[in-house]
Amino acid sequence: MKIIDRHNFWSVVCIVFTLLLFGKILLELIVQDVFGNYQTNILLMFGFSLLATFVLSQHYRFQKYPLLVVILGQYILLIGIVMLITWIGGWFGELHEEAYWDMFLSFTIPYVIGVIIYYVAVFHEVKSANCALKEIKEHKSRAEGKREI
Amino acid sequence: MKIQYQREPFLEEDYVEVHYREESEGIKTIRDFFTAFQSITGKKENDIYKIHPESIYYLEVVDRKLFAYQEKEVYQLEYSLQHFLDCFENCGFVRIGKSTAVNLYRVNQVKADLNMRLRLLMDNGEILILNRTYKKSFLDALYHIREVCYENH
Repeated sequence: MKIIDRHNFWSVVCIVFTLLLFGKILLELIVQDVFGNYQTNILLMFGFSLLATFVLSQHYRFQKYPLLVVILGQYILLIGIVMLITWIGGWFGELHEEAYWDMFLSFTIPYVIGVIIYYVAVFHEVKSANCALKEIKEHKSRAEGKREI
Repeated sequence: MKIQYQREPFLEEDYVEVHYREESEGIKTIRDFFTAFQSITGKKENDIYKIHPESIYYLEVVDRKLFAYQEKEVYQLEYSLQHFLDCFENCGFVRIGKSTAVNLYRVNQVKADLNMRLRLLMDNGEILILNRTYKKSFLDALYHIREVCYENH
């Protein structure tokens, strides 16, 4: 068990909250036999979060491609899966007439915000480090050139 | 600064002595320059070799023994990792893990890894993982060296 400190505080809060929420859904299902739209939405959101985190975490495989292409590619893949799940959901119950549009907005808005923060931070850090390395190497080769002269 | 060169054919080993009144920036630069030339001894298959710190790509502690990795060769050093870093920090060595340190001048490229870790692609093609705990100190050291380069330019 990890000691809670300022670095993992919010992660721990999120984990505890998720566990409590799942416990509540499970308890309601067992004790009250309740499993409606509310519970389905919570589980769907968890599934989408899991999926989005997994797809985003694969960014290191696409470093040779331009950032925008990677972001768009991952988004298209994810929104495709979301729409597929919504379509499959339509087999088991009647969908609202704006269900697809609502799913699109519910997924796109947080995705765009999260993506911007995540990628900009990671790529900026890597880019800055590589720039520094390049400058150091150039300086070193110049210094070695002078030494040889 | 007065510089003298004296050829003494009967010396057992070449040496440099620097005499100074106060440790100025110039003296520090000379110290850093010669630290890179300072050789240390490394053991390989019961033979002792002289190696230059700047030729080392990275260091790793395995079974409480410190190993220095050059482009192709590996030597065991009679140092602790911390002691080595204290002595040769000016040669660009920085810790990247609990038991690993890297020579920044031998890092070719930095790449992002899963879980926000960084992967260091070395000049000889090897890949090292930069532990998240040491990421800040690594990047600080990198930017510090760049600043020093600009100052000396």
